[in-house]
Amino acid sequence: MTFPNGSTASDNFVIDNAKKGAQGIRTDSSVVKTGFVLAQGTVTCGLTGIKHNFAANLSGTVKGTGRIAYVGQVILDGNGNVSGALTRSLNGTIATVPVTGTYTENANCTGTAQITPSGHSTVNFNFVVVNVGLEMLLIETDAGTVVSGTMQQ
Amino acid sequence: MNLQTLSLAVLVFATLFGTGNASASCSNATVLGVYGSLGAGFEGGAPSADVIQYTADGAGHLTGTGTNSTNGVIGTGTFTGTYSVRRIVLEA
Repeated sequence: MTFPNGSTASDNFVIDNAKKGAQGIRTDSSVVKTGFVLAQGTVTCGLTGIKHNFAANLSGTVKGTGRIAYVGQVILDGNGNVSGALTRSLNGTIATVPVTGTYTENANCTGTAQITPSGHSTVNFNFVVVNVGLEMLLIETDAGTVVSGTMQQ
Repeated sequence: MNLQTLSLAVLVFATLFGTGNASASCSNATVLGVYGSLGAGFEGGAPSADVIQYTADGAGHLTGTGTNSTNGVIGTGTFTGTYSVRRIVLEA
């Protein structure tokens, strides 16, 4: 695989999930990274007006702060609004807070979300919709963070 | 877009494992359509994660877009690539 700047990356994958997914590992030197792949499948993406409830599971690190993880219920109302509640562990300090926010979802099944836990700063994500719309893959896009995870219906 | 920091994981070599004389077929055509992936680990010793959407044409070619964070530096961008699928039969 080649990026516009000429850099490359390589992976080995094993196909699974009835050939609709895969488990992968990067094979470039100095990289220790695994992951998974899911087919997008047939799904209508965008702000369809249909509400969906997701269970969210995200984890990672925040530079200069430490390790962080979230699990909770996130509701996307189909019109660009986010609500729900998340339990957050920040270096082992636990807090459960309601969340609000907004999101955009493009017809190509990519999107962005801005989620604000009550009393905390807004957290920004990019996401990809997969598995016929039953699952979203997310990564935080705030500088200093390495946080990623999934939301599943 | 910060392409200098963008490093997205993409399928370049896929394997379907079978057992004995299992009849499952597997070829580049097995990987066809739009996919999403999530990767996490370390690059150069720093924490790293990526979320990617890519399209496989069933003939060994990939295109896609994605977001990567390595040590908190965020990059987004596009890529092209190739992949190859083979089947390995494990002895029962």
